[in-house]
Amino acid sequence: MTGLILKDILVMRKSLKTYLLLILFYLILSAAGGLPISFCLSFIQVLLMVLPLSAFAYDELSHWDKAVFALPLSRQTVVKARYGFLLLLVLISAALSGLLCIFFSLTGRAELLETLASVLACLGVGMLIPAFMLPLNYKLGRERAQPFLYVFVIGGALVVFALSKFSKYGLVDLSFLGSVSDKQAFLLFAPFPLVGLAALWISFHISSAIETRKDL
Amino acid sequence: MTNCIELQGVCKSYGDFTLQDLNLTLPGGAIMGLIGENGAGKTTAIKCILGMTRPDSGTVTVLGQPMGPDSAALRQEIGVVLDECFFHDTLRPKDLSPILAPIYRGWDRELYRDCLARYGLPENKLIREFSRGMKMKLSLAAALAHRPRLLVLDEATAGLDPVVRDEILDEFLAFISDEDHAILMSSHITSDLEKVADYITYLHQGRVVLSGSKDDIRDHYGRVACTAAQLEQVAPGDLLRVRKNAFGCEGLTPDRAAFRQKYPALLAEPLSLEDLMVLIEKGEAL
Repeated sequence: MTGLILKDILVMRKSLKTYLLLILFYLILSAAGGLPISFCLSFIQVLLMVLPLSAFAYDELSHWDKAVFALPLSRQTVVKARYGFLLLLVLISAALSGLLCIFFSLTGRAELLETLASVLACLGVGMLIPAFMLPLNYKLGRERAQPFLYVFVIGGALVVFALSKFSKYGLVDLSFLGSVSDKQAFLLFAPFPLVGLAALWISFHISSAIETRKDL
Repeated sequence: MTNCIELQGVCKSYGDFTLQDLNLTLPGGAIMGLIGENGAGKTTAIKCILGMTRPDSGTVTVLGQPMGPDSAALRQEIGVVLDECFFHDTLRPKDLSPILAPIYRGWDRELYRDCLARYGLPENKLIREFSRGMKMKLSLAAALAHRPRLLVLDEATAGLDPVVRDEILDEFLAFISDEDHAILMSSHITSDLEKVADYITYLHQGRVVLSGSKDDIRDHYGRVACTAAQLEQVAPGDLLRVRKNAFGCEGLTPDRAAFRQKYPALLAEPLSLEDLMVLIEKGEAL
């Protein structure tokens, strides 16, 4: 399994380096006051969402997705490696986000609890989307699964947009959000990563079942 | 000695294509060539042998053990080269060792580096910049570096120039000098098989139409060239296939010597694997 995780890292090393540089760039901009810290956190979440799916694209391009079954690995191990790669990205994202929180709270640019709440929410959502998309990629292939990602992301954005509009015209009362304290927000979002992990666990079993039944 | 590959009554259906009742035996120390037209079932047979797909019926035994999708441990003993190099373009040959070493118990980093050096492959060059021949050599280096007992090659020499093909064929011959080793290779390039194969299995429309030692096939099968009038004198069954054209007729006999004896006026000459394929595919039953 470690060989396959390493393969994903080596195949995408150029993209990973670019993304790391971008994070560093946004971080400097945030520190200079040019960007809100939430932008950096959202960017990390987008990476969590995009990178494991890019790994599928690379595999399809080189026909690795079929050839891997000629290697001495069980199909479950192959799936496990992809989820392992995702978990590694989650760990790196969590560490980077945690450092960001500490940095911004120490420099007085943001409240620690508020930023931590955002980090936890972002990590949770960052895991939920691949948890939803990976089984679809295994079942349908990357190209046919791609529209579901758009539905998921655009659908989510539309819901937030609609809620804000409804709230503006008094159709929905979201005024309580203004009175939510940092501590309450932190407590609300604290379980998000756990929910994300649980979703990944279920997703892994679904993906394994799909791959095990697949007839090449 | 245990056979390296044994297939008995293997059937596999994919909707409009069916591999039917495939029986095949490859002993150690030998090379078997799998030939047939596109879509004849060669790749399906290889997938069954590698446990990439489960046959609908029949048994697949590799190195004395049953093979299936769950036989990951057995695949430790097999080196695979497919028609396309499946290593990502963004990798370099030196990246394959850290990737494949945890996968193959027997991965030998030194042997891999030796193979790269012997094939003239730069370790630090991106695979994207490799020619097809270089990619095939890289696949072969990776397939050999874990010291497999069985090599399975699917159209591995297709698209390569004669010099590179010759080098690769020499590697195959060196590999089977160990009696424990064997190679199954599917190829359209019958001249390659004429050079190195000990056995030939010919698939046509999902069925085995011919399987045996290459020398037997070469010694016994023959091409008969005759006129339409001469063909009428030949008894049905003495020619497996007949092909007629504006210049005359040609037929395929399974026993050249017997045919010559029975029809001394007709010339039955040895034929190449390519002629044999053309006669079987383009010819009709007499």
